[in-house]
Amino acid sequence: MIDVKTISKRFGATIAVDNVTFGVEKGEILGFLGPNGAGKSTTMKILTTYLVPDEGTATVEGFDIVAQPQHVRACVGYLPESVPLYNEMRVEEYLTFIAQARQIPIAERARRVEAIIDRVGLRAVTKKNCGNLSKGYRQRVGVAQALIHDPPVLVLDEPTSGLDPQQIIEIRDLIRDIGSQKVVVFSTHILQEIEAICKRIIIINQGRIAANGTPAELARKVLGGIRFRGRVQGNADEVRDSLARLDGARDVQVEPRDGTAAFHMVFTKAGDPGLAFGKLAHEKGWPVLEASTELSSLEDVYLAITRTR
Amino acid sequence: MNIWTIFKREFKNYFYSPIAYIFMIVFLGFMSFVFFFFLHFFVADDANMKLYFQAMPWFFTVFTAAMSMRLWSEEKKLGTLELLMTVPMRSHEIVIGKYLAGLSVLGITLLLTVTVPITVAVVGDPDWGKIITGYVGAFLAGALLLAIGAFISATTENQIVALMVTSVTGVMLMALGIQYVGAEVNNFFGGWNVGDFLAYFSPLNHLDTLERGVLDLRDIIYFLSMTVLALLLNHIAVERRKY
Repeated sequence: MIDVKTISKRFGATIAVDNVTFGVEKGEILGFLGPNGAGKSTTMKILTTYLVPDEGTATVEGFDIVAQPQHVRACVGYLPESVPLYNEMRVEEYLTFIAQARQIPIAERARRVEAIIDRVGLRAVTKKNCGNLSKGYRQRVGVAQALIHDPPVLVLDEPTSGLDPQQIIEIRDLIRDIGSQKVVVFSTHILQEIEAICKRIIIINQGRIAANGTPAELARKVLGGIRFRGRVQGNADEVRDSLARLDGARDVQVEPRDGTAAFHMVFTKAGDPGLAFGKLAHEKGWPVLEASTELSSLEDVYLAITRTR
Repeated sequence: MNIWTIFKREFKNYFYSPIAYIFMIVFLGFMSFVFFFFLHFFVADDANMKLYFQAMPWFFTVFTAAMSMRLWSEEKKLGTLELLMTVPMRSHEIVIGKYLAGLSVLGITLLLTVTVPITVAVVGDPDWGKIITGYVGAFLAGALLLAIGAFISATTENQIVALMVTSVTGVMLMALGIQYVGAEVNNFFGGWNVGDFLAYFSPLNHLDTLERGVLDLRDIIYFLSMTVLALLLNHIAVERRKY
């Protein structure tokens, strides 16, 4: 569990983190979103005790980051933005060093190193020097060192940056897999990614938390609703009337397309727009050809927040 | 235990790259060259060994700078400092572990120069007492210069800057112990004995007694306290990142 209370951090005249408060529970994957230089990395550095906040404090698994940094470090796995590899060390050697530094007992060390090599898919490069690895493997070694001691809390600063789509999916699946039993905080600027794996999002802009909630909550708050689109078989006018009468529907647009009605609307009420729509379609007996919440919602939220300030 | 973890990695790190070998060879080469060519070793008397030990700390200024330059600046450059500072280790353990690794390489290099006095012993009859105190002095001076280098390395992410600044600092610190320099500094400060005061902080002043074969506790305390001071500064430089 992470509990951040009103932390601030200045570097000279610039305020990198300004009065930030949030919490993360076990089993929750929290996504940090924001433009470059917004304060994501600084917040993560504070959480991992690399930096000390000027004001405020935070607890990680009940330990105070300022008063008990050693305890905090023991229960956090951290992947910094620039993957911290020693270029002359072989992958296996590097992970063994991390296992030692993490104080994993000698009897368990080799087993842990082997396990993490398999888990993260490093088998092919164990004898290679870290300096000779491709970007994708470097990132994986970085993830491996963060996971080697099986920490209850994971802090990952842009774990998928610079990876190709296949690698992104692998890392994403790994995070999702791990996330169910851990507290995970990770940052990215790939919006689809955050939508795919995060239960909750925090958007940081100019050091402040600009928004905090589930993707749907944010869309509702910032855009006034979630966009929902689909196509049903039926008369366009009739579909328009029915959808417009739906509780919470706004800006309903329908156009006929090859005997079907393609629609687009904004759903302002709490709850899943898919459920409301599904019930309506069932009631009316409409065959549904397509229906989905629009993925661009988050993008619009992000742009709306970061553009206005 | 943590100190040992850091020590092992750091010690191996010296030998991953050819830099350590190159500097060791250059240092050993220089020392032998100086001895056998400049000092007329066939005379092989104690005066000769004295010159040998007087030359050594000057070579150490560059050698220890080369040994210490990557200790911290490389970590800063690679971003691995962020890793070291977020694993459950205390900063002083890392400072000590790194320093001891450098000190070991220094000690090994010094051991390898033992061939010189052994050669002298073969052809002549040197005073072993003076040779031992001479080596003690060289090791203590090297230990101090290395600690200063470690501190300077922790203030920059550029190894070359660390090398330069450390070498210059070392040479200046040594030079303060030269009588002529001390007198000039006194003059500069209009007769105040600033030069004499500063000379006390020069390793040169304390090496003198050791080279004469005298182990004076005051000199040992000087070297140890200055080394500890440099390591404390190193610790502060590492901790300062937090704020």
